[in-house]
Amino acid sequence: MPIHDVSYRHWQGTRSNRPPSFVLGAAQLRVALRRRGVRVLLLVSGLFVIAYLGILYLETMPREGALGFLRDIPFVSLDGRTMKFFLMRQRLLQYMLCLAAGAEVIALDRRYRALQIYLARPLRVPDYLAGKAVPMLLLLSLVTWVPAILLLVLKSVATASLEWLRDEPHLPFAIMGYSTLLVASLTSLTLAVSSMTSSPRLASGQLVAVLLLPMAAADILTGLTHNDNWRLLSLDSLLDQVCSWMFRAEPPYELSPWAALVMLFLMIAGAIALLLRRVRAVDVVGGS
Amino acid sequence: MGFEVEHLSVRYGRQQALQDVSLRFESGALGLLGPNGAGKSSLLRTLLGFVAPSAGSVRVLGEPVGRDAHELRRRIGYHPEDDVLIPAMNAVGSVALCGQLAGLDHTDALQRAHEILYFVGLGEVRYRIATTYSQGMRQRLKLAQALVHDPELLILDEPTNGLDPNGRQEMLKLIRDLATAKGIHLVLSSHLLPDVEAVCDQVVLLHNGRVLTAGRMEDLLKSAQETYEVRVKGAPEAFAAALLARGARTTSSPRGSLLVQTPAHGVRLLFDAAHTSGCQIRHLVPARESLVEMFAQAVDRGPHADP
Repeated sequence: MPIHDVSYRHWQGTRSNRPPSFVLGAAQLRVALRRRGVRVLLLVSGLFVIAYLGILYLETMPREGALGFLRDIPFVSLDGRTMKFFLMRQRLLQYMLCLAAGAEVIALDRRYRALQIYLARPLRVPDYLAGKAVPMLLLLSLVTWVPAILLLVLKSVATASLEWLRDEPHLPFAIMGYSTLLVASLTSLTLAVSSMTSSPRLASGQLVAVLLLPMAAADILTGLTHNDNWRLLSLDSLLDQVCSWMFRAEPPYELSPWAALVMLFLMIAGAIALLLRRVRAVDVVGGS
Repeated sequence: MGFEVEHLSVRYGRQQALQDVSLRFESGALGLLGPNGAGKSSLLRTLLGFVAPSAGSVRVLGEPVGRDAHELRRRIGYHPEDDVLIPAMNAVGSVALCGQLAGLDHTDALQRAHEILYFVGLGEVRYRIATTYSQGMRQRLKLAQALVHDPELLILDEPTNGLDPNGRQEMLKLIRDLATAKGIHLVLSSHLLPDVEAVCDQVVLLHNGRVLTAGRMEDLLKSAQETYEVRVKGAPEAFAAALLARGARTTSSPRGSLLVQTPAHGVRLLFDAAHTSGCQIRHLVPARESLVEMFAQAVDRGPHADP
């Protein structure tokens, strides 16, 4: 059908049943990947993976001769401790990814009233929110469980052994469990903050404040009162505590991991409730 | 069938937005008129399935509007009143996304996005980021987004807002073409009565959540009595007296001529009166009541539903 014919034609095709949240998510992912900041952060994350591939290489080499000095360095092994280190040390990168790929997502839609376009289609509010969450879920997964699991698989292949699984059977579950919590909490929090304003810059500022201020407040209050319960205010501390608990490492704070877990779930639930309150279908048609 | 509402009432808390509204829109172009707060937006919200009625029933395109209203929106195109667009995308991308969201596959959506953007006159600028568009271009883009999935019912909320006179005429021509030649059921909500008069063949006047009047435009605009605008040479007072004696009513028009409301067969009566009073009729045209006058009269008369 020639596109230079400007008359209106009826469409004769068959409608597909692809979930609209999937369609919206794919479009949002394309938009996110067009941003230079997002691509740079993914590249930096890739450098982390390359560094850990170096550890894997050293681990599989016989520690003799020139590599003999590695014999006394327990760090050079892709074990639970290293994987915990891998996931926790990328926290800053994950926060920056939230800023680059998520902070503006709903704020921009509010600024240009794009919700009126989206929700006038066969798209419900949960579909819209799921679609908006897709880029963050995928990008955060790319810097958390995907490389971690990939490293474990490569280790199994390189060493031709599943001995690590016998020593640390909890490791895949810890990686997946912690990553899921981290991705869910950061995604929901970022989208909730984004939905609170129609200014993309303000949304970014608010997200920085939401991530950093409770952390500073928790540090100060814990220092003043010598009570680690104040750590419950800080998402960063909660994630640290839960991560250590899941990887069966020494917890950094004197705080029940269950309390930290419950607090994380409450944060996620609160963020989702806020999102559902801020994004309403009835606003699609303006006026009285 | 476009839509049908029966005894529809909509409440927002204590505020009654629509009260016992019954309408039936078969096909063609329906104009929705009313001042602010009349209930136009509430009716549109209900048709799109965003608001549940507190009483009554709603059927759109033959389907009841209920829990699955979002599925029905695959068959509806909506052009919002507000200045809306999808940020960070060019026109082709955003129109194609709208098509995909309505169920078109990627290839079809992209092809149709190109076609529709040409149809609305944005073909040459379709690769520009939509946020850089002028107000008029954004209005056209909204129409493209509403049309890309080939809706059976097209709801347009103030589609000519912010357009210059030429742009407005072009937009009205496009819309009229959709309703008359392409067989799309069209609902046009507007404050601009000339727009409704130019596009629609049916009209609904809403006021305070009630239907003041509804029906075919030509029926509503036709006066109960025939009205003529007459200019005579001679003594207009004698001509007016002769008309009065024959049961006609006369008023002066702002342009210095006489507006004569006559019973049936009025033209003959006019010439009889002119002959009797010794006047010559120099100007005689049927006077047509405008939509503005009809709207004002309907508001004065109060609610009178005639679906």
